[in-house]
Amino acid sequence: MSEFKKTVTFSREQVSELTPYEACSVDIPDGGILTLGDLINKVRDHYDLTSDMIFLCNGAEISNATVLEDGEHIFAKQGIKSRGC
Amino acid sequence: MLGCGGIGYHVGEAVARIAEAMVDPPEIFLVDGDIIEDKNCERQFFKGVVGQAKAQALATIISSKFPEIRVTPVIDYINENNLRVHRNRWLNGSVIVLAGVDNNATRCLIEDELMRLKDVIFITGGNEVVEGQVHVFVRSGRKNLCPTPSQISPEVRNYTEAAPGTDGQCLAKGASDPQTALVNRSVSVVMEMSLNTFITDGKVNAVKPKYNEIRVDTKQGFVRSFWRDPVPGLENKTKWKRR
Repeated sequence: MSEFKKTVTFSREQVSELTPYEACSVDIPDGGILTLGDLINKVRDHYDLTSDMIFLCNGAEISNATVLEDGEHIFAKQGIKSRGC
Repeated sequence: MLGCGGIGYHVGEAVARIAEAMVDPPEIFLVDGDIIEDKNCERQFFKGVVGQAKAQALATIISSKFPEIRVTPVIDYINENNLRVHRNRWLNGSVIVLAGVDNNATRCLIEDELMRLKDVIFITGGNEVVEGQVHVFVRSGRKNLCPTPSQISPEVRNYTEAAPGTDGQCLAKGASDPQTALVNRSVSVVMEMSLNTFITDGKVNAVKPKYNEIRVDTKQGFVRSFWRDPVPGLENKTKWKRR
């Protein structure tokens, strides 16, 4: 196991099913840097990630360039529909 | 009713119909600083009122259909600069606040303001081209009975656009982007339905709702309601910005 291995938990909001969350762990030995982009690539095959999803960590929105820390919980949800005026 | 455009245009009339059936019909305030343009007539209003304020035009329509209902247009945006005026004029006395606005700055501001009120029912809708959602929030006796919209959708607080009516504003990205009349109407009907759940025997009954988010997709043809807990990390948020 790499000394740089990180584990983050990823869960996705599911708006079309009764169970709101499902989660998995993603381990990435990558020299110590894990970005949201890395995470998405890892879980893409397992989750239906739509382009309008936003990614949150501790309630704050994160971007593809955000460096994730070991043990963090990432939550993906569909973004708010914002027009109507 | 905050916003008298794509969503508010339809909600306004529905609210008047509900108000007419109430034991003590409430006064309805229609709040919007927008002026009707040609493009608005594709989804709302009609050509003859181009150039009028949306709030005024909608008030005229409602008054003609429901002459017994008191309708007051407030031709202004709501932002940090004029918050005190809005508080004194309509916000402090409101028991139901409906919103169909096109920017998160206003959504965020109004949510913070609701925390000053003892009792309020807040129903806010938004849409994109064919999809939309409605959030329902209830506060009773200074206690939140469900998460606030920004606890469910925290991106509401990450807005970058300036609020309408402020210096340097870009009038919300949505103003010039496409949206369909169908999604406007669908969201407005869901807002009307949500409001109706709080009316019992002609009176407002502020109870914990069975759901606090309803998603609409006019292309896939579904309306689904959900109970949403706060997103992880915002479960214990108790402080809102005081202005």
